Amino acid sequence: MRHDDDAHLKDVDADAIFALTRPDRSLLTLYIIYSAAANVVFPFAFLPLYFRFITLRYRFDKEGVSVSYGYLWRREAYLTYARIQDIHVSRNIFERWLGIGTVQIQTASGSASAQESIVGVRAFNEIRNFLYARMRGHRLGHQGESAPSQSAPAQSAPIDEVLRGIRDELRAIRESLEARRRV
Amino acid sequence: MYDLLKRLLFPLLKVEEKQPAPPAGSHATFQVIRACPAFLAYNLFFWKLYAAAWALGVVTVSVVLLIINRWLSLVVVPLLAVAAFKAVVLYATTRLSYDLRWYVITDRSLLIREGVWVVREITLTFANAQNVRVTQGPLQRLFGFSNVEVDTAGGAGTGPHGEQTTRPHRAVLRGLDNPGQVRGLILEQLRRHRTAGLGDPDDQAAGHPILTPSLLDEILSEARRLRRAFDST
Repeated sequence: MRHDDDAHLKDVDADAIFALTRPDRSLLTLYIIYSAAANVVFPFAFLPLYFRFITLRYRFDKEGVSVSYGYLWRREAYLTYARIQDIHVSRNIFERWLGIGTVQIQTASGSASAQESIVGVRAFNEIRNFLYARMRGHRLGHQGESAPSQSAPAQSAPIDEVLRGIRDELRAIRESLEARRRV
Repeated sequence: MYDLLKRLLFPLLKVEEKQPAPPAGSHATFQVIRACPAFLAYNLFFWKLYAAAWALGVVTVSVVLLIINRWLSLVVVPLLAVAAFKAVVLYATTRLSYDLRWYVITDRSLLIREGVWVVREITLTFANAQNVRVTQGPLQRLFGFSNVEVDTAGGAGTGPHGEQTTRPHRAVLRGLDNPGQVRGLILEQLRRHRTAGLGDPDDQAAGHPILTPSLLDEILSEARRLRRAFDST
């Protein structure tokens, strides 16, 4: 399927993004590195991350993206593309060595951390471009500038029509009333 | 010296020096802005302060230790080595973070790439931007540069580790010697968007219909005349 939104984006393959459901295997390596920092208590650090890795699911659809993970405590967050305020792509040195990155999506909520993080993906740039193309204001006139001038006449026309109908109706009643009185 | 260090560190850090591409999309124009040399001088000034403080501390401790016992040089030598290494690493990161700092402004979005250990890229559209601010501290004034901050809607707490750089909803263009120009450029793009930037794509479409006042007047007068005609029967 090809979407109109992407007509102007030659380097974003939406289908590839829609097909993305799992983080890259390198994420597990990254989690092992992170847990290794905890050396003695390695299993305690690693197990939650391991379960997060095996349960992590991404689902991109036409309206928004959902991220879910958790085995005993499940968490699923869904947010719509139109609500995205800013996109952060961050890659620390381990992620760079493994060739993966993290895409953090911010909406206009008050929390300091990102509302949704897409971690351990190789196509972080493509995801960024994909999300960016669905943000508000990526294209002028689409949702920003020219909307009022387009919608106003289209909406007011039928109302004018109705009012004109009412006026004609009233006029007809009066005329017939006056005509009857003259008889 | 630094070039050699750079050639050594770049493959190790897996960073690339080439400028980031603007976010894909239908932007008509884009321009790349970089931090000014004064910003580097400012950061190196802090490095010098740091290095001087370290050198003073380490040398004092070393001398004291050597006076106590000459065998303590076994401790002193590694201590000096570590201090020197730290200073070199800090120098390299300061220079690298200047070289790896990019601001890309298209006619509808802003992209900032920065960072050495963690490379961060912030992307936002001007349709979502809430305000633009130019800030300058006294020391920054002395060096002659300003920061331009662009906020989007939402809470601007500190980042997950308390650092300022990853503040959500805030993009900071650090170290600009032409802040007024950049601010004007961004404000010009902001003015093209009439929405509040709170993420509602429909807030423009659901406007009030425009009624023709003369038509309403005609309806009113018609109704009056109808009543009058009715009353006089």
